[in-house]
Amino acid sequence: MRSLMRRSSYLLYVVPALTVFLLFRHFAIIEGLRMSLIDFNPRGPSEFVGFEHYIRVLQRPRLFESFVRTGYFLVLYLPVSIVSSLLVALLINARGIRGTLFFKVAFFVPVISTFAAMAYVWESILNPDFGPIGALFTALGFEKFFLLGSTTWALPTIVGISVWKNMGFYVIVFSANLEMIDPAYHEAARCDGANAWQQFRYVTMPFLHAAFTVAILIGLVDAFQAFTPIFIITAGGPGTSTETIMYYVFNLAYVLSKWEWAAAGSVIVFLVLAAIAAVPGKLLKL
Amino acid sequence: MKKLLACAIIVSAAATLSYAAGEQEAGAEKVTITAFAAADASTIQHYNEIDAMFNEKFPNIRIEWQPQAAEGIEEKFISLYVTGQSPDLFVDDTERLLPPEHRYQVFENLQPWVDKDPELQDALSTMLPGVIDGVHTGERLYGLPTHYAALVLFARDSWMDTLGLELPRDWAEMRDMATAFQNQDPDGNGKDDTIGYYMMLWPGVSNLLTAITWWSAAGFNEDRYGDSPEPTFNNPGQRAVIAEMRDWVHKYKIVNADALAVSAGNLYDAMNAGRVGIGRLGNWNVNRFDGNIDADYVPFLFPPQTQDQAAPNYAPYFQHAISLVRDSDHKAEALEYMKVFISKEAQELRYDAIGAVARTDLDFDALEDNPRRKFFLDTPMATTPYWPPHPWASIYRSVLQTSLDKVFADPNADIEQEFSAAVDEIMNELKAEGYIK
Repeated sequence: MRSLMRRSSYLLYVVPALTVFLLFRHFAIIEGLRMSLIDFNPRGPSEFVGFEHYIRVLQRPRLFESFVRTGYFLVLYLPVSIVSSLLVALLINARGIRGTLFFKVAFFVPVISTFAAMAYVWESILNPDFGPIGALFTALGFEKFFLLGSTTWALPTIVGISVWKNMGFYVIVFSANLEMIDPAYHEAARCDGANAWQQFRYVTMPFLHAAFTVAILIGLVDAFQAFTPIFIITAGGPGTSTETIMYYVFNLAYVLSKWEWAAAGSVIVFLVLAAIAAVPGKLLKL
Repeated sequence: MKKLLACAIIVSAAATLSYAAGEQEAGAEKVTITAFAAADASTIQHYNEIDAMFNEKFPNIRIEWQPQAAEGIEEKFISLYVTGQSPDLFVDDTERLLPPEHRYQVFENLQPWVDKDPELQDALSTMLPGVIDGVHTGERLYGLPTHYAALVLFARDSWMDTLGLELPRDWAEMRDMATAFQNQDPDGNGKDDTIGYYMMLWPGVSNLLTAITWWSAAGFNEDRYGDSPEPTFNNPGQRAVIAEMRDWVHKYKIVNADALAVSAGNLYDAMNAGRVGIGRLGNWNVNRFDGNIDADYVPFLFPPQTQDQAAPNYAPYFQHAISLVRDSDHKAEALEYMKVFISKEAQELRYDAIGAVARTDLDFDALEDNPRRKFFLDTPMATTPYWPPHPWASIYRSVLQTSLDKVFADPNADIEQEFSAAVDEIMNELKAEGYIK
């Protein structure tokens, strides 16, 4: 009995966190699921309508267009984030580099900064009439060009801003993993005549499995949940060129006031994201 | 002895009266009315002046303002409402009041209150019929008008002098003026840093508003919507308006380079930096602009598309209102505050603060001597609300918005085809929602 109590004592430690998590996360998810199945009435009984809202939402071409756009965001965001973060982490952790902590902090500052404020800063930087990028274009003799005003370049620009904003997190993840690698492995490889690339490929990379797993999964979620820079900088435009799935779901709720449709859309996004996240999970043998 | 007795009586009488007065004050219930508003510090300062006026009459009622950023305010309000935490009052543009009203009828129908209150009836009788229409959805009076803000255009005065230009009489002349302002260095600083016409085509309010300004100016506003929800905007005249606007962006390049992704705040920055030749001007902007560019601008109405056009000039307007939330526990007290909020005295304060009111019975000659603000008072304008208060408006707006976004973003998009698709989508939505059969 005492042994059982000892073994289950960990429950005491997780209950507070679990309670908060269930209350503020899972309750909201369940409530969202419920709302997607009813005609919501905030001041009276709500009518159960089954999958009617799902059908209405799935009939909207913009849902699929925004999914495709989110896929495009993901395809750009994930590799750029991971490769650039890994490179920075490798540089920071390279032998002989001083001031490692300074660089880690410098890259991490955007992560803890408010995205809203950062979005305004980027909007100003990119402004062709007033910003430094516009001045650079003009100084180089090019016509004024506004990246955020182009249907072709607006989304990649938003991706770039998002990569810059979140990069510090991935750098820390990779750095932490790199610091765990025993230097003896690299020394042994060097003694065996391995060059820098071979050391990276055959010594470093296998040890980064955990960091890659975390980075890919978090990157997937980041890409699917891309919302703040779009909301602040482009409002989904020009045209609908930056309207990602989360922005579209937001529009359903707050432009059309269709909360039930937005709830149904959120459930659909959740299912799609879960299905996609399972792929790297499977590949990385989680 | 008599003197002593008289003194004792006076003292006891005074004590009794004082006690009674104290009792009365303590007995009066202290009430706090919460009010939600898209407001900056100066607006709240103006509201606090009205509060002080109100508190002279009702010292036991405290008004607690909850100022919000305009961006996303209706979302915040709806979130509070559905979770049962809404404020008592919501003061804002009808554009933002209408969606929650249409969706959940969140506001008290004030018509029964007005019917039994002569003071309210008097106040409403002084207002323009248009602003009264703007706070009705069907038979429901969902708010009281506080002011309406008309939109016209401005042109830089000194730039016109430098380049020898007159105010434009049609769109061709306005295009010529914008081209000159953009390319002929009107400020003489030797740099290519001036903006011919400041256009805001950011998805959201800016995009529609800019288009509606042009539509209205072209005299097509009647075709934009009517009492029937069936859309009528896909006609040659309106397509020509949009085609012309798009050409200014993509073909002539005489607008700000960030036109497709810019909102009102940027206009103010550019205008205050003195770099804009022609732009949008609201009556609430005048004081701010005056201070920043030494009043170097002339207001004018949007010219008709062609000089032989019979259509009158139009100025679209935003309308603001104060609404009482249906769930309020202090309806009577809040309504008293609303009455003060739209009173003649409060409207005079309001005119002084922002140059816009809803009442017509103020002594404007005494209140105004700024020629740029007087322009809004003196110019006979046929005004049209920015958006109609119909329940189907949000569907209409959302679809039209997306359609305009696509057309403005792509210089090769077929406007007729895009509008035709928008009409089909609106019709499908209206049928699905039961507005039409």
